[in-house]
Amino acid sequence: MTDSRDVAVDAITLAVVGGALDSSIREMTITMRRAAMSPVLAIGNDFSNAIFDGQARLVMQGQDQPVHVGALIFACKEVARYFGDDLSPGDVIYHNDPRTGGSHLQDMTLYKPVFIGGELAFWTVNRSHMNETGGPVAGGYNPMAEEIWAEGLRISPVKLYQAGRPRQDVIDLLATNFRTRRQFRGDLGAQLAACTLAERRLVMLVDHYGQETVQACLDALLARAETLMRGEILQMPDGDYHGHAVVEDDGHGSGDLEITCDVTVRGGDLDIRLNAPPAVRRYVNSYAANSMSAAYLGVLTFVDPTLPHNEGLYGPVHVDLGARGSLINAIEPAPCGLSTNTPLEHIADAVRAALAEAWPLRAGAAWAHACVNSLAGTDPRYGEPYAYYLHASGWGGGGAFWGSDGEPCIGSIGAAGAAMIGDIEMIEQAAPIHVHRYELITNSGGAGRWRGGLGCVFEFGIEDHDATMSQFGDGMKYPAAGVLGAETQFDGERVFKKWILRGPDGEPEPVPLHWAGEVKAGERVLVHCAGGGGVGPPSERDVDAVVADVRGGHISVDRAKAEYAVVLDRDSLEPDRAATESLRARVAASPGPV
Amino acid sequence: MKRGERFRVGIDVGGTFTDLAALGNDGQEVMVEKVLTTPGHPWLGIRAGLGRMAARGLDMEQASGVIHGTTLVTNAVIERRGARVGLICTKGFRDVLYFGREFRYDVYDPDLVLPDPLVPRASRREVDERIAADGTVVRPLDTTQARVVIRSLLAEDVESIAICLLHSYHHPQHEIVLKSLVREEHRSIPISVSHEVLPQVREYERASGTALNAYVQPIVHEYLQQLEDGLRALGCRCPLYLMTSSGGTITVDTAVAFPIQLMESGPAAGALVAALIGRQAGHASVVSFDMGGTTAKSCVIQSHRPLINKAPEVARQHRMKKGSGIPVGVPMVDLLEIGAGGGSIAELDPVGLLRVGPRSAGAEPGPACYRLGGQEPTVTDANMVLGLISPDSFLGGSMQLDPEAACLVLTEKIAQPMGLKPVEAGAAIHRVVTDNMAEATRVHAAELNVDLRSYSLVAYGGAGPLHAYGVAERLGLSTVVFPRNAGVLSATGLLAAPLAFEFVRSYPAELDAIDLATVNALLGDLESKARGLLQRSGVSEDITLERTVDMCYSGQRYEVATPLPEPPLTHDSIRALKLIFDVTYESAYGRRLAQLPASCLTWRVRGSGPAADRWWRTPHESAARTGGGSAAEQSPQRTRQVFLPGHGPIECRVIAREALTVASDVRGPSLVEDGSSTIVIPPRAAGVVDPWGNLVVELAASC
Repeated sequence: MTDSRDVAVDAITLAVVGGALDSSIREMTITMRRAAMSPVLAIGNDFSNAIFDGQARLVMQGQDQPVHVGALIFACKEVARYFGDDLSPGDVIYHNDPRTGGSHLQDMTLYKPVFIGGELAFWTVNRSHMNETGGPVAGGYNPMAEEIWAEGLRISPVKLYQAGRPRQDVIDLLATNFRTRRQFRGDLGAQLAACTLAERRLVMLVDHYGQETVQACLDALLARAETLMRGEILQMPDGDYHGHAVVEDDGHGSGDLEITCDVTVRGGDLDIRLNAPPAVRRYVNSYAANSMSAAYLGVLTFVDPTLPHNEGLYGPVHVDLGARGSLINAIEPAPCGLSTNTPLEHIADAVRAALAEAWPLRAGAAWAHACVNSLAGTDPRYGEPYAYYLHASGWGGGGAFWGSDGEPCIGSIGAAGAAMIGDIEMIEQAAPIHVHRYELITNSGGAGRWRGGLGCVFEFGIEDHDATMSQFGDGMKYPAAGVLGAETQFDGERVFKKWILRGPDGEPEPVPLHWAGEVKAGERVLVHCAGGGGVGPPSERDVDAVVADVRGGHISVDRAKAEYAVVLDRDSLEPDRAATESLRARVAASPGPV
Repeated sequence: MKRGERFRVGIDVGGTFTDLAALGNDGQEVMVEKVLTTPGHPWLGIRAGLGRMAARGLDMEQASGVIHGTTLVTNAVIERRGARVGLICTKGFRDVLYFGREFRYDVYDPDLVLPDPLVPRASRREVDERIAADGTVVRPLDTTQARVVIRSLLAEDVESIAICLLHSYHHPQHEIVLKSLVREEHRSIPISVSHEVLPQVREYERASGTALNAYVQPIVHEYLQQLEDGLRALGCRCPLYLMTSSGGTITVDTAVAFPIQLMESGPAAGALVAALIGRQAGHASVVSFDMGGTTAKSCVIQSHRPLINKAPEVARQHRMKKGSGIPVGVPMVDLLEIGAGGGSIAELDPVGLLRVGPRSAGAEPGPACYRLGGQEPTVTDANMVLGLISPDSFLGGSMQLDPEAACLVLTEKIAQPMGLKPVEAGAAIHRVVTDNMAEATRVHAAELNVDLRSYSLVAYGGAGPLHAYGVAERLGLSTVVFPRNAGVLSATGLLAAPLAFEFVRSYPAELDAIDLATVNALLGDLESKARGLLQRSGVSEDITLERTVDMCYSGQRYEVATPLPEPPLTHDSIRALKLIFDVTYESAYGRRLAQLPASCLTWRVRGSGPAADRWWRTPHESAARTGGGSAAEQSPQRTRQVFLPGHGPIECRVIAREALTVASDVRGPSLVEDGSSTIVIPPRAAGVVDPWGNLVVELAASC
């Protein structure tokens, strides 16, 4: 119609197209949650959705697993480059290889190129953690693997559908390689359903507005994200900042592996330089795309959560992963089975520690690492094999942010609270185990003006069969680091501790960080999960918040005094305000741990 | 209402208004009344309303039923005004309420807030006992220790007791003993037991729902007592029923025992009446669209029934974010709430992108055009500038609006920075808020596995009729129904609900491993409970029983309600059930996974009495008023120049709703003003008034 409406179209159509992309992504997430078969997807939500434009630029990412999305930016471009012109409407591509943008082999990605009017207009993409990789160890976490080939099937980009027709031979080849092939087919179907749904939405969007207008909107959304990100970076003072984090061990005596991060802020640009020792022989190495995800995730925790989540955000963020062949910039044949936890969490921690110096008002402490047990055996109820990844055995407390405490039992920073433990009653239905305790550990949250989230005690037994248990992750030696003066002398105890209770009297046998072995009928496993780190000096925590913590069992009366300098009556749990005031005055006069 | 005639009364107590409606049992006569709610003492408002109806000739002695809906329970939770609760749970699991879902509802928001547990840790006590998933008693209940726990809680002056033990949904023996121990220790304290309140697997939801029930029980008990006494004093001798959050009705006794069932009973009635209006207009599948000052609510209605949310929550920390509230556990009518209303504020983000809502100017200071101090442009101001709202017909003309004020603030805050004319800025705001609502509704429909394109929209609320055409166009809907009496829709909806009770119990099992004796006994028990309660409520015949089971393919987390074959179940009917599930799953998700094993989780039996809406099948609009013909012919021609988003500058006919009679037709572009709102009928659309007084508008196919 009239020209007057066309003027308005830009800003408004932009808002509408952005909204439509957002709701398409949400619909993909809904589809995955509903249709996925394996618990790691259906309960753990361990998947991510993304929409790319025709040039393989990320234009919208979902509120799913932050760990995946940075890597997808590289993966989609690799896949597009690999096929070049050899793409047609109705193609479906599958891929997991870390060398070309995969995370670890468990994360398998489905890509659907979307053609409109004969032109490649979009890619709809889903990355999901499948519960099998076809390697020597069920589930893909193989602590003995010395090469990536020993971790499972590597899938370079391959077409599962050619012009709308399934390549059954290829699909069957994949399924044949996986122990749980029935679940694989179900989960693959969910991935395809999610990507196909988004394709339909995008076609409708272009039908409504025309490809040119939509593409103009995508360009504008990318540009806006970049502008907004620069605006955020401009709020950090120019300068150089430093952070570091330590991987405890690769399970074979590598010892501490330190990752350092040097950040330079210059105007609206952010340089992130990461360095790490050479790759090790076991599965804690990370290929480039996964490490980029970690660095981006670290940055995302500092910026306004309402920014449009597309590739434009990373325009002003320049990441240098250091020398090729390192722990965080691995090359063949380095194994990387654990890389989406260790060292991804540590890379993010190092970046966040550096940024905390640059922007204290947005600072966040480290989260407890993932330090997980999984069980496998034959379920005596059905006489069938089972494998169960026990989130509850390895999900510790979240880190505090400036202004808010961390959440309990929320899991690793890589999931950022997107994965659930699930109800004990459902766990006992799903796996042949019996849970004896699931309760908070007093004093387990890192002390701070804002307190880290608490860890839990999780104790379970296997009553009627023998099972194999594996243990992998990090966080048994070093606690989740606090920031901005949150350290206290008690931090050392806020780590993961695990025992198998064996024998007639249940003598505790410590479980090492990386381990696989047997748990026999009648034995129990006792887990103490780590807490998250705190933010700011604990002696600055609001006195009433400390009192509430004591009443809630989060902090003991003794620790309220020793760490937070708050004095309470042991029986009434009423604060002694005068004593507290004078204690806090003394603490303020003598810097250092309380 | 004629003397001596029997009738029923619906009473809906909302946050601002108390609506009352009386409907003769012949379905012909209606009397409605609207009074201000009296917060803190809702009975006073109800009494005032009934007093006004009595003055108009209503004789409460002739009432044959009173049906009540209230947001009292929800508000008590939001405002944390409930009782001091003591929760008794299995040893080792007292922190279930604190851990919650171990889920952050917005992964990138550092300031995220989760609700505090309703029961503080010090009041959550453990008893030594444990029953395994299969019902094996791993540790017998230590009754001596249990007594010590109960006495210590009572000594601390708790006002209500909740009991929730692991796996009690199917193995309640320890909960039953505990309940009797509490009763022995205290004669009258309210007790909420999880296998009675919510016999469903998943301990967090069940503990949360049980604690909620205990939390509101004393308040609800006192209030309903007062209401019953008050009605009796007015001469009312009929039973009092309460509307449940899932759209059924229950007796006072049941409501007192399970007040959690009343959680959102007012809004549920609104959705029921939208279903009813859809039925009158001949549409089985409709979307209700109720847009008020602060939020818009929508509900999907399938086969004349509002869809039910089986995992609802209350008191959200973040109104629009799922996962930020307290799980209720009992099913509720599935209402989508969107932060978009007449008072929603329009603003530009740091890079100049237009945002509308969820911030709202509310009723105070309200939109700028109210001249009550509002300094920010709202959706109502935008509609004012567009000419869609007339300055002198707002609230039936009782409140004069100021178009200048609207234009001024819109120009300064939106139009100038964007380089637009005021009407263009107004159109942009109108469009963005309309799109927000349509997108939210579409995503919600996707969550429910519903394709909305064959649905009709039923639009009401102060701002609903203004935006309905845009929402319908964006969703691809062709019919919009604008009900009469839109102001008291919830109260009339109360009268449309059948007496209905649902009983549920979890018995999780793989389909192949189901024990037929167990499941048949379970279904028989649920059925006799439903029948018993219906009979005690006065329904002896015409009882409909619906049996369903929540099923999934083994390993999935989300279940699909699957209709059960006639009991008793046999091996043949279990095989049939697998086929029924495959088909149900396919119709929901578009694919069938027949080769995969399936599991059952929660079994449900719903018993309902005769559909109360048969009273509504006769048109209540006086037949004598049937006239027909073009509305334009029947009233003096008035027109107004407006800027209609999506259509540009255009001249609209302006019609008063009172001028419309049955069979009147209205062609777009028109504005129909009815005192509380303005209905926008776009060009090429055409409407007709149906025999019940609803205006049914068909949008042009090209839209």
